[in-house]
Amino acid sequence: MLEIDGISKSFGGVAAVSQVSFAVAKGEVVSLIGPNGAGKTTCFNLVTGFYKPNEGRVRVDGADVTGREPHEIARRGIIRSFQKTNVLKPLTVFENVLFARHRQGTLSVWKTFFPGAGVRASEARLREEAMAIVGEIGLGARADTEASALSCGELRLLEVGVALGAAPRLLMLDEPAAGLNSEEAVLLGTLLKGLVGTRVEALLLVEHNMSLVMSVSDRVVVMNFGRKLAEGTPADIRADPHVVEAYLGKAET
Amino acid sequence: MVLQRNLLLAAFAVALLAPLVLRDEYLMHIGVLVVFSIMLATSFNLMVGYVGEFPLGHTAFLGIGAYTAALGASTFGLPFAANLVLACLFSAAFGFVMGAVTLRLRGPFFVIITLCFAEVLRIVANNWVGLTNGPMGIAGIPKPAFLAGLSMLDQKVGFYYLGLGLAALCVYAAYRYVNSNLGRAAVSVRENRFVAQSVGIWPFYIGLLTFVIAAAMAGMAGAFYAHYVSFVGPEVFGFSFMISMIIMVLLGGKGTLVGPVIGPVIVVLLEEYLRDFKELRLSLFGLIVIAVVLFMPQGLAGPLARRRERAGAAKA
Ligand SMILES: Nc1ncnc2c1ncn2[C@@H]1O[C@H](COP(=O)(O)OP(=O)(O)OP(=O)(O)O)[C@@H](O)[C@H]1O
Ligand SMILES: [Mg+2]
Repeated sequence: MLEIDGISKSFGGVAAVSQVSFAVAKGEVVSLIGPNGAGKTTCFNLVTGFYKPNEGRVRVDGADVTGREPHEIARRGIIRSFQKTNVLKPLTVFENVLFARHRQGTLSVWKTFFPGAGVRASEARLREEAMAIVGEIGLGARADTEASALSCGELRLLEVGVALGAAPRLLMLDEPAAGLNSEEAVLLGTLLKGLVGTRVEALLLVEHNMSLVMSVSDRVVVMNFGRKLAEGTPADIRADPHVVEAYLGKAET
Repeated sequence: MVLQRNLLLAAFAVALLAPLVLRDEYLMHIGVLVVFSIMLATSFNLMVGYVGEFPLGHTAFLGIGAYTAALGASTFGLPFAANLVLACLFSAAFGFVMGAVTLRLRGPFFVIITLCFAEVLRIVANNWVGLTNGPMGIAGIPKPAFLAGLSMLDQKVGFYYLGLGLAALCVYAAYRYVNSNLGRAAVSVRENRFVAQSVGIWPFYIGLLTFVIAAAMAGMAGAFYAHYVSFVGPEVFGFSFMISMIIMVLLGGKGTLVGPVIGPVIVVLLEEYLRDFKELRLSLFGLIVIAVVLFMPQGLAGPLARRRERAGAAKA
């Protein structure tokens, strides 16, 4: 459903991403890994329209969306989270998921100011759906807590919740397990795995936690210095000498 | 949100009963100024408090509304109701044009370019003598027909109730806005426009829609003003209205529904109370703004500002 075809992006001569191609099919979990500064986040920004690529094409369901605005791409069901955070701190957990459901609740301007029974019903449905997502990510008891008061682990869950609120078809998460201990990471892994085929059609992960990557992914794409280094199943990747080299440095010399 | 709504309903009830007790021309005049200011502050707050942009040229809409009504009445002899509707439409249309140009800009650029729009309009009003009568302004705008033949006091009371109704309309519209999908999107744009975009919200569209709504409100206030004062001059585009709007919204509490109601009450009363200190007045207001920004950045209604969307309560 997502095809990335030879995209490149440079910032003032620094090639952050060069000639990267890969695809994500329906039903798949794909992970994008690589050392710090490899260009993973830049890839996310190129796919979701936050950066315009210098060359290459991005296609969603076969349609060329290269250079489109972020909100247009999000409306096609390509929803990403941010490495920093995609939670609005002063809002509660519930409010965060509710605002993210914007696309499901768009009204005409007229109906905004003169709501009828239909609007009330759709608003009630919106709230129900938001609450269901809050429950699913395991924050039901914290629904009315301000996001600024959440623990790191809860915040990571809410980040997934906000993205889910936007009804993604392809969910793109940028380091969803950053700062989690291994126990919490396993929990997150279980949550993510359960999403594919139910709430989302496919999942694209950027993640440094290797045990999480290896346990949830169908396919792994490895980047280094802006280039694609390798692609394959988790087992292939683990055995690939280039990958081991990129991560651990050359064994000899 | 429920608390704010109940406070507003209580305030409305008090405002409805006030003229029964305050049977005084001067006090009713102050009441008219308050309800007029509530329309302006509510309009300005939609942009400042929800979308999070600061249109320093917001008086453009007040002025367009006022001039539309003045011209409608004097040149075309239209009745008040028609002028009111036309003022809303013209201001909204201008808000659309101005927003389409300025909302592509961010932060200080937006602030300054909107100010330029208002300044250009002021200069046009000053110099297009054929249309606007230049610096002399347009005088003799008649009172609404239903007030004809009433005593001075009853006229003031009539204007007060008229303004109260219009202000209530503005506050109700703001209430609907804040509690809708549109208002939630605006808050997300204010808090983090990148996150808003990532879930499919188009910040430019949300800003533009809000700008048009706010412009219509300010235009309505302008038409009301024109028919009340019965005179409109280029100063409606000027900075003194802008300053009162800013003080009222900041003092009352931006991003709340109650704030743009509390702010005008305090500012109008203070302005009247300090009338004797002509020169000192502005300095005092300056100090108030500084104090608010420093010590009460959320304004008087700040504690109510937190949008409390209880998960269970499913109201529309
Ligand atoms: N907006 C930008 N302006 C200039 N350089 C940038 C910008 N964004 C990214 N870069 C550079 O591009 C390169 C790739 O950055 P990117 O954030 O994509 O890496 P990453 O793989 O996500 O790393 P990490 O694992 O640390 O998140 C880095 O050298 C970074 O400094
Ligand atoms: Mg990154």
